[in-house]
Amino acid sequence: MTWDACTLVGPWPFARLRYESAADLLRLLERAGIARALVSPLAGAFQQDPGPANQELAAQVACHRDRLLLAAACNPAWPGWQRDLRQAQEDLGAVGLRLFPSYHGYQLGQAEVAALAALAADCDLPVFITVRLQDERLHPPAFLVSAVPWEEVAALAQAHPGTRFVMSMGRFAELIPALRQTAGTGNLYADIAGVQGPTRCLDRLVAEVGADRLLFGTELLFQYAAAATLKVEHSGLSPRDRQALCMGNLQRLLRLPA
Amino acid sequence: MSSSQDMIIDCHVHLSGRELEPELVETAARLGVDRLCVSSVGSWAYEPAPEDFIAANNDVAALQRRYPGLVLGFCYLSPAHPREAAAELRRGIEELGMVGLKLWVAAVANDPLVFPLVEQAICYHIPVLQHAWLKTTGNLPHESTPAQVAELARRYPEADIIMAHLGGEWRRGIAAVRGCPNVAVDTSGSIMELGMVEQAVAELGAKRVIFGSDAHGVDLPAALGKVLDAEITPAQRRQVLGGNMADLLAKRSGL
Repeated sequence: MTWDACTLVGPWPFARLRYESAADLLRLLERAGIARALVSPLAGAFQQDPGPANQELAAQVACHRDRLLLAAACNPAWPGWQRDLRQAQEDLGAVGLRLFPSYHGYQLGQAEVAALAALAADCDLPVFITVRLQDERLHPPAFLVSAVPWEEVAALAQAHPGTRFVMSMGRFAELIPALRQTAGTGNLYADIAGVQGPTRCLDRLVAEVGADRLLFGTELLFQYAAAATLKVEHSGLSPRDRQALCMGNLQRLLRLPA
Repeated sequence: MSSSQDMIIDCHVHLSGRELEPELVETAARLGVDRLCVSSVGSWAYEPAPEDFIAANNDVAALQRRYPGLVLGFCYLSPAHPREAAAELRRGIEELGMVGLKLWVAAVANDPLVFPLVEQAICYHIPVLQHAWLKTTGNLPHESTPAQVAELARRYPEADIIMAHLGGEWRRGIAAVRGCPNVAVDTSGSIMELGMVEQAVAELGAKRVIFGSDAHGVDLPAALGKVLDAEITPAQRRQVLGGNMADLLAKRSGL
């Protein structure tokens, strides 16, 4: 069984996406054989106050909670984010938080992020840090957004060992040093949605950092699901590592029963 | 063996160092990829000296011998060395049995230095695999944009040009070559954005879209996943996966 740690729905401001809705996501997950997915609103990256985008998405997924779990967009640089975080968990059923630091214009070393990390630990919510949404080379010229440096992600995780973090949409060369640096605290995970190479990249990743902090992810509706599913299918991972990557690790991270 | 129209042909493969990794060969076999069009860009120098591209082509020729039927060599050159490049293309096609010309970032596609090589490719009836990107983060000094590829294609309508990576920023790339019927796009590279294959097929026609991976830098299953996941007809998928490339290669020697 496969669970997807990285999906996003909603419009992209710079081009028409082929699919944008939660219904589309459900259909594509079904087609890809993915049983469950953590989903966040794409609009949450572009609106400074992500609250309305969370509410809209929560309404879309309310009837599909067995398939879609909300990772609420959160902006610690927005006044009142603490209240929004609690509401997302209590009223919208969010099981995780997704940050878009480069899109919301803050760095992970700022005090607001430390406060968010502490509150997330109190609320027992994992924090997904979106390193990038799209390859920087493709950004519109007037809207070039830098990737979040892996060093900042690793430093944040080390500074808050009681909080679970996920590095989302990092590349092969970013995941390895970040996961190595946090081997001691063990609280940083990474999804594979942004790992497209080199040959047998998953085997190489597992050889370097082990399988227990890697999460399957597609970045649907932005990317093709089969780019991720075939990577796993044609990897040389052991059944144990495959199960951990595809479901076990996310299940543990979210503290959910199978 | 499958008929050439049912083959899966990866039109864009590079080496890891001087070798094709055994894992890549094994994965290709497992995925049913029948042919790998391989070029070496040597040590990835942007402006390789003649001895560099000659050595790179020797590596590919050795792989053709080691993997007969699987590896089809593309001859890599720098147009900045006209005399040596012309001689190397002649050697690559006539002596080493290569089947295409690979151009990377030593000169932009519409640089007059490129023209004699394209004319030579036309005479040999071989495709020209031309790297192209327009990067918001900045291109390399002589890295071709899709617009420059289109300009080359308009100058040589009889040339068969494959624009790599759908031009990078694929919406722009597709738009740039829409009016150039002698340009096909390859699907290679690390960009996996949903809809890119469908849009290329819709705007250019399935005949002008060709599967490529950019292995070893990109994992072959991920690259193939783009095409397998695309919502196109089975007939269109067969064209993209191998039929179109088979047609291009058959112009010279058949498969």
